[in-house]
Amino acid sequence: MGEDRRRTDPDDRSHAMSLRAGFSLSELSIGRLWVAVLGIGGELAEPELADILEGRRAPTSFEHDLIAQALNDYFTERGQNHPVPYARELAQQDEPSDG
Amino acid sequence: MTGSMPERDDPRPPEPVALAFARLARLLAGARTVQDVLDLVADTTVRVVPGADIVSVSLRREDGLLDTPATTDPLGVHLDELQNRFDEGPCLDASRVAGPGVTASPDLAAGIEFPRWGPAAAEAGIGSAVDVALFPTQDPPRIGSLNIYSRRAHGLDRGDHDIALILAAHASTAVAGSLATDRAELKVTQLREALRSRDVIGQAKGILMERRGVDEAEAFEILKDASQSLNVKLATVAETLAERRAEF
Repeated sequence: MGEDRRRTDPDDRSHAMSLRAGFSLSELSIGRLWVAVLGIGGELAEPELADILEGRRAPTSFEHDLIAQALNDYFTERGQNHPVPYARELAQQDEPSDG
Repeated sequence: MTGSMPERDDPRPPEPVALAFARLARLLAGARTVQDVLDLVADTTVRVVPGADIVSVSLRREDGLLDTPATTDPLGVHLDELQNRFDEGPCLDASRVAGPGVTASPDLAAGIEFPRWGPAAAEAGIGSAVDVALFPTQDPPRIGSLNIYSRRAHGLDRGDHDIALILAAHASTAVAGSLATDRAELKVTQLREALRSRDVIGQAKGILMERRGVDEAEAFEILKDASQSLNVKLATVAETLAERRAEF
C-alpha cells in the first residue's frame, strides 16, 4: 500500500463535504460525534472536528475515514448501511475515466 | 422594643409557609433526579398555597407541546392534554408568550382568557388557575410552568399568586441544576463507553498488526472494510476479533 493516507490532499476539501452531509443528516451534535470518534480511536480535539465539519480545514484521509466510520456506526444503529463514503471511495470517484 | 424582627432571646415559631419553604429547600438540595425535584415542588405547592386543589408541573417538548411529569392529581395531565389539543391554555402561554410569565384565569368557565380551553377545564371540574413560567424572566420559549388549579372560580387570590412566584423560582433553579447534573452524568457515561470501545478497538488493531504485519492505519482499514461488508459497527467487529483471537 503505497499511498500515504495521512497526507492532506486539496481534493479532501471537497471530500469533507460528504462528511458534512452525513453529519447534517444525523441528529448528532458536534460533542456526541466527537465522543464517537474518540471511541473508535480518533485523536481529534472537538474544535478540530468542528473545523473539519465546518470547512475551515481539510481532513487527512485517515481523519476522514475516522469521522465517516463514526457517522456510519450511527447510521448502522438505525438500519442503514454505511451511507457516508470513505476517502478511498471518493478518490476512486475523482479518478478520470478512460475514454 | 422597636422593629418587627424577633430578637434572639424571643424566637417566635416561623410561619407555616416559611417552614414549608425551608423544608423544600432542604429536600431539593438532596434531590437526585429532575423527577424528584418536580414531585417535591408539586407536593409542597399544593400544601402551601391555600387555594390550591391540584398542582402540576408542565415541561415543554421540542415540538412545543406539553408533558406533565409531575401532578398531585391525574386531572393535571388531562388539563395539559386539553391544552395540546386546543393549542391554547395557561401553561402554553406561560412557556411561550413574552412578558412576566404569569397567567391568571379567575373564572375559567367564562372563557375570557382561553375561549376553548377555559370552558373545557371548567367542565372537567376546575374553576380557576394560576400558572407561573419556570425561569419567568427568560425570553420564550421557556422550559415549562408550575400550574395551580382551584376547583372554585376565583379560588386563588393575590397571596396565592405571590407564593406561586416564589415556588416557581425555587423550582426553576432546582430543575436547571438537575438537568445540568443529568447531562453531565450522561456525558460521563458516554465517555466511559467510548473509552471502553476505544480499548477494544485498540486490542483488535494490535492483533491485526501482529498477525498480518500491517501498521495501525492499515489495521483500521481492515476493521473498517469488515464493518462495511458485514454492515455492523466497527466496535462489534473489534469485539468479535478480540474474543476469537485464537481462531485467527
